[in-house]
Amino acid sequence: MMLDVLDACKYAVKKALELGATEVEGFAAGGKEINVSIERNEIKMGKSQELSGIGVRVILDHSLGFASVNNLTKAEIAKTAENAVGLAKRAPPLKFNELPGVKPVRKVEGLYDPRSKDFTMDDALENATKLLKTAKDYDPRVTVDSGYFSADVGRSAVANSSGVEASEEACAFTHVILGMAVEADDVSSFDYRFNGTRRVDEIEVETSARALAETVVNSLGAKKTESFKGTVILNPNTVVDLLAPVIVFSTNSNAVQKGMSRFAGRIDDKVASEDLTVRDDGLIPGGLGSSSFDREGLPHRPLPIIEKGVLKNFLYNTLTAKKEERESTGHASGGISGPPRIAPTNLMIEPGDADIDSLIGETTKGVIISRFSGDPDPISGDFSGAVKGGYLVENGEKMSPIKETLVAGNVFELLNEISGISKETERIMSFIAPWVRLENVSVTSA
Amino acid sequence: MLKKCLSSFSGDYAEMRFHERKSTYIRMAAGELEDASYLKNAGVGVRALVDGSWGFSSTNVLERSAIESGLRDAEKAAKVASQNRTEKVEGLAGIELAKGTFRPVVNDPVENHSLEEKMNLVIEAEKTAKDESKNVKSAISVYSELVDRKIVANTDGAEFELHDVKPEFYVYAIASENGDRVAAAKTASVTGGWKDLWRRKEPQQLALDACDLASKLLHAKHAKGEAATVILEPSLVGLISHEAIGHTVEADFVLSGSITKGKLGQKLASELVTLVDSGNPPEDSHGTGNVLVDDEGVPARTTRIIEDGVLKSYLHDRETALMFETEPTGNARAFEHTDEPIIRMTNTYILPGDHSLEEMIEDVKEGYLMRGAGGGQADSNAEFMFEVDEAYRIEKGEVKELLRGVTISGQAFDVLKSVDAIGKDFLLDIGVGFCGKFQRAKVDGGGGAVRCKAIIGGRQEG
Repeated sequence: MMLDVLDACKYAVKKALELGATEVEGFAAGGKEINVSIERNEIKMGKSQELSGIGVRVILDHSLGFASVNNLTKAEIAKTAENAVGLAKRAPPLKFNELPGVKPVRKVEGLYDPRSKDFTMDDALENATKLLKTAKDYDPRVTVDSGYFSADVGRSAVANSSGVEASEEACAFTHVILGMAVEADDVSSFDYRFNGTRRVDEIEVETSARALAETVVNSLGAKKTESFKGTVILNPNTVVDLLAPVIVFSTNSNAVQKGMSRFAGRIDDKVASEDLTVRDDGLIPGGLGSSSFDREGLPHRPLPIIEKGVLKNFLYNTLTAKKEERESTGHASGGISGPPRIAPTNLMIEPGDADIDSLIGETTKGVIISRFSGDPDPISGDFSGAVKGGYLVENGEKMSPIKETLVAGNVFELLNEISGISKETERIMSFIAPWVRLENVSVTSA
Repeated sequence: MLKKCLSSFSGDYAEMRFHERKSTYIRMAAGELEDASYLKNAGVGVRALVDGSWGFSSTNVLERSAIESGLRDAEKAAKVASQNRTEKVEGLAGIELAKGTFRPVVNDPVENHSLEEKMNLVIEAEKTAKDESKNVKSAISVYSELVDRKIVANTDGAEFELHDVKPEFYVYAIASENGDRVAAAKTASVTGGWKDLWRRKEPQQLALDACDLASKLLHAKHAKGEAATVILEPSLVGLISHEAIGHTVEADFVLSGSITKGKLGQKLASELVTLVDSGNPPEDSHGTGNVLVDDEGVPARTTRIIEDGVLKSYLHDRETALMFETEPTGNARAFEHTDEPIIRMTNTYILPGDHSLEEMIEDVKEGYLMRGAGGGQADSNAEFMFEVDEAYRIEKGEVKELLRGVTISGQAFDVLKSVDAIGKDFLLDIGVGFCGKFQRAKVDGGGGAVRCKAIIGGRQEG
């Protein structure tokens, strides 16, 4: 017999305490996934499965142990609690290892849509087909390598030995599409788009499909450009891929405390151009990054991160907060397969006052980037990668698509080189981002 | 039991895969044990081919009724998907499928080593890396292992049990001085046992090496950007073979229109180059990508992707093998029981040649010696760019100073065309971490060292 997620957590707490744990936390999740996948321009497979599991965190005289299992039967939970206690017995202590107490949690609306119960494999098929067909109909040269539409409905719960007990039902409808364009011997760059929603009546896949098709078709017949140092205009997608990871890493209190963040010791310092305001809010109704409580059962709260270019706050969970004798900001994150980490919830880069056309219109010489391929190093901020779906801008005009173009620089330096942010924003999964224009970026033709 | 569950099935094909995974993960960062976890994940994944389309389901309830209901769900899902499929799956290529029990070569099983021992090793390594040099103020060390057991049965006659053990370890040292920061990593990973994991270097030595490299990089100069002669050690040969060549020959990607589509039989590399993918490479290489039997029951083999410079084969599962009228290559793999098998590489490498590394360096007037794969990216047209952990300048046949912030880029097939020497010392050396393609997979790559031409990138100073 599988237990309900909250009962499973409570049972894990009871069992681990019996085995000598000082403190215990159970985090469990269970639900159903319906997925229709796409491969090489065809519907590939239907998938339906039920998943469940629990992660047990044990603290024994300030030593940490963690174990998990993909099963919610009493026998497996008891064994898992025993494994976690066994690990804690062998681990060195860290005096900050303590669990949080109870804090009032307010329910965030819009995380569960009751219509999700009636969502079928046929509905998923209809959306996957629309995703594929929209991209193919845009232009016959588009080839969809892979993708899927997925409907996930489930419940998660957390309980600990200090009395925290919370559970919540949620659903998400997400999709991904990957592809390229092929014309005779010309194979374009690879590109992908993804998005999602929690409401059945807000499911919409065409935007992603068209954006993918447009990027890959336009990068056919792309020309090389010359090397220069100048303006770069990032679309929201690229803001999320290039700027956001460095900001997220550097404002993670764990990275700050361990000497890995360039933002360490810089609260209230100016770290970016005045135009830049970044905040995190896990309480947005219906947000894909929203939930009523975090991985430790604590409430989220809206948190300013960078305000008009000034660094305001780092993100904390209970462990990192204890080290500085402060409160968690409600950013404990993760699932059943590891101890809580730290992550943003819904991360928003505030819109500016320019429109996209004027960002381009004011540019003498620059490049528009639809996708950045490469990983910025979050510690140093250095990045070097390829421009995908790029366009040259000359004297305010969007010119030809470009290929084999690299951009390189340092994200920390570029945050101070923002010369414009668009009014328009896009929601991409749990991010909301505008278009951002940067100056003094090295653009190199390969 | 799996076989009994299959007996009621009336579609074209069905398979059942019991997969139990026990994993351990220990992570130490900046003097703190951040994670000490033991994870168990077990269940049965069921895949069915009905009406020319695939369906999949899984269950974590290990009872006959649950598994049978999983089969019905997979059948139903296949029927639904089939409605909007224009071209149906025609079938699966025939081949003798595996029967029996398969175990990897293991010297000194990891299970014989206690959690204390593994935890202490991680704690000590982090301490060593941090304390050894005044410039290294922060370090991370990680030990992890995946211990797998699978039982697979399918309606085409496969019936086997597969055991697998993949431990790995890495140390990451961050050196800093006057606000300048640089990181270096040293890794070890195998399919095999405790003795196999440390056969090249002990963990303490890896920690010292990471620390030493990070401090040296701090004072190293940036490279200048140029097209140059480079000698790539096996780690970079593996990275390019896997990321920039390997993905473009995965048959699913070929069918989508990758750069190698329609090019079988064409000369795409120097005739010195024979590039293979093998789930069962030479025994002492203990490749992290070893897979003795794939999840469709196809036994491991060595697939010659490029032979003497000519493109000879793609990587297949049974479905694409039938489409290409060839044999499956043992590359169908699923990460966990909740995943369906898809085409994945195993160990991808260039066969060794007859040069010693010294001989290869001797002939270089000006160039670079490179080792250690960093981050990077490769595209569907085989264009790639990777960061290099460790790059040395070569001048008049001698290895000179270490450089930092070096990248290597080019079009992978062009780079392979320029190969003029291959080293005789064989190594698989990119096994730490995972390859991502909707699911994760353990893979490896390497070869002999390779001398070729590529574009070196360096950040412009000033």
